[in-house]
Amino acid sequence: MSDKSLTLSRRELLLGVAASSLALGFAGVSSRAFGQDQQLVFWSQFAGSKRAAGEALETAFKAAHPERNLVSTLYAEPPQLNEKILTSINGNTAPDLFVQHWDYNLTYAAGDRMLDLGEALDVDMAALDPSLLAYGHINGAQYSIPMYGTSRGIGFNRAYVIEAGLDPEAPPTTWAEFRDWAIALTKRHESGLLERAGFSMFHNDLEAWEVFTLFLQGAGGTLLNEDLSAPTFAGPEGVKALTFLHGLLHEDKVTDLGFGLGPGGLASPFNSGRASMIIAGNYSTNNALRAGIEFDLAPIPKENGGYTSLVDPFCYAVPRDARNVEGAVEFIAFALTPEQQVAFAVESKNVPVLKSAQQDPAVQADPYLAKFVETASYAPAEAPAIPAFSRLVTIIARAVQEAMFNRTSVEDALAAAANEVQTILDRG
Amino acid sequence: MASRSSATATGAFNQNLGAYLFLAPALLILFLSLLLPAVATIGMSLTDVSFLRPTTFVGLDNYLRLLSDGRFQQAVGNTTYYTLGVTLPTMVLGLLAAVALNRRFPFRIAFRTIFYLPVLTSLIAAAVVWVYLYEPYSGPMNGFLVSLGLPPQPWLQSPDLAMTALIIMAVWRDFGTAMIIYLAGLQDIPEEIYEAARLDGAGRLAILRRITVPMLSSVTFYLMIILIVQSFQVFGAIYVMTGGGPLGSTETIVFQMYQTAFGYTEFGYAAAMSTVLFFVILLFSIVGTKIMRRGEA
Repeated sequence: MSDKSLTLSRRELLLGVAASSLALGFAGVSSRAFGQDQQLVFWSQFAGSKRAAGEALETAFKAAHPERNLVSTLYAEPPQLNEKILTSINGNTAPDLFVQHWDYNLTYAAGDRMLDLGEALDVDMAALDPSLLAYGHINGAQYSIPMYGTSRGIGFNRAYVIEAGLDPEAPPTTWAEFRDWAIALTKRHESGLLERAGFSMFHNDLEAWEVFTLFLQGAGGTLLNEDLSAPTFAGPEGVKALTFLHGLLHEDKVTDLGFGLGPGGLASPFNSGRASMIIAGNYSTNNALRAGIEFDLAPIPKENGGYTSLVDPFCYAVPRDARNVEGAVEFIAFALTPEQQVAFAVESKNVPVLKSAQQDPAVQADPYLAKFVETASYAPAEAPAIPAFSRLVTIIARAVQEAMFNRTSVEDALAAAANEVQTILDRG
Repeated sequence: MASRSSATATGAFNQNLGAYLFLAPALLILFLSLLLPAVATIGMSLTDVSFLRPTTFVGLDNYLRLLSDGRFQQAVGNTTYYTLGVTLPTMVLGLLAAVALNRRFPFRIAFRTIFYLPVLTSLIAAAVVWVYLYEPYSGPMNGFLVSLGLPPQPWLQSPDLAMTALIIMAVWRDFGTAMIIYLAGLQDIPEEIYEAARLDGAGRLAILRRITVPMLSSVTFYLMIILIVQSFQVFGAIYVMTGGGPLGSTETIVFQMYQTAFGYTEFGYAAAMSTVLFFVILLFSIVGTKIMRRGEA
């Protein structure tokens, strides 16, 4: 062999590199395309306290369906997942399946980008909790299916309740009793400085909206009318609810605005022992117990007896153009089986959507979860399921805070908010 | 004559062809990453694009809506207050620190490093720490106030205080940058000028007022433009510390833009906000550059 035969000219080298790159690229593309056919791409929001439960669910699915190549990506927060979904839907790179906070799913559904799961899914819808299911229903179709929900109750510190001479086994059943509890549980220094809030009301927009909505329901009101075309929260019930909250703050002085960091971390007023009562959700349990609080839960009383609550589901949705609709639907059906619903609920301490799972002995054996299941049963069966829900929350929260900061009257704040909401509803 | 100049121009172009070819990749990247998105944003601002529903051309509707949008006007006010609140104290503190640390004394390098450290910390990490510093009932800020016999303040929870609290944090974080830039400027001022002033009997304050500050005018204008542009675009600290609240008192234009685009999926309207912000920043930059050039001339 001569030396020349071993020497490559620059041209030959470049041609060789180009040919190799093309070959590798083709091989990569074809293998990726082949791999994608088999994949079930799942974008998950089972983070934080739901992470272990989400991982267990995925492991169980992989074991039960080895033929499905489940590829999941975890997103820490709903807004983070929302950014990814919005851009991916537009760029045709959306996953086959995702689980997201319900209001985002309605936004995607309003653009006709989601599959009607009511038609695609072979699941007995009557077996699912209607108050949770309502949050995925829009324009006559079921665009998203809840995996679980959180519900709201009055979270209280048992030690403080006993210290104040109240009976933790007989929590308030009316607004008047709730007010008495809040006053009795408040502690101030002689200087007037708040030492312990009787009822820590809200620390951000979402909590301001939530506390108002719960008391609005307690007064017999709703946020929107039956066909969701007009606001109703500024009516007499809304005025009564906000006036009651205003009275708790300014007359009874059961808390101060801006009392502590919110909403539910270890440094929050409740978890640091500086608040006796809060509006609690399932997510409140772990941090309160970790902080050493003697946490307990009671249903939220209505004005003159009876209870109310809110549920807040996280739902599965499948993009209309998903590559693996079959796999996505199979995953949802699997997640809705009684075994998976119970396992997820027990691990994550959230309320399962399957009614039978809610009453399962394993779920009922967890004292906190059992109480949240009970409070969920007081939530209205109808939901304010509109695509502009997040905007509605901001507007109402602003109105509540305008009134609470005494920037305007209760009536004016609610009326202005109602006008703004009507404009948005009219815009569609 | 004309053909001669044309031939000269062609020759010059051919002579520079190599340079243009070398510049081409960078220009292409700049076009794709800066100019194209900017033009696309202006285009989007004339539509109701949501990326979910079909898009329609709406002309100047988004801009007209901005004029009557109370929340946007509040955001403009908040952004202006924040920009003024951050820019002026940052420059003053940066200048004072630079003048102090330009002298020779023990540990001056250590002091420079300490003052510059906040610039190097992650914004999000710093914001989380500041949330706890501002904690109303057990945070060190209120601990300090109480030790002085003053009542604790709901720093981030009061609509009247929250933006000021954010400004304090931003000044803490940014004045190190101003200090470094001023230090570089100070080292360009010839020592002879100071010596001559001292020989003429000028005091420290007079030297600062009549020599240092005027000689740093071009640095000051550069810094001012940088800080204004940066402050107009504030987002991260607000996202972490207040979420725009309470009562929208810390909602700035960029924060509202993000919320409008990703929270409400009104990308066209958000693009209109972005375009307005773009032209405001452009205006500041042009005016600043002109003033700077006039000063240099």
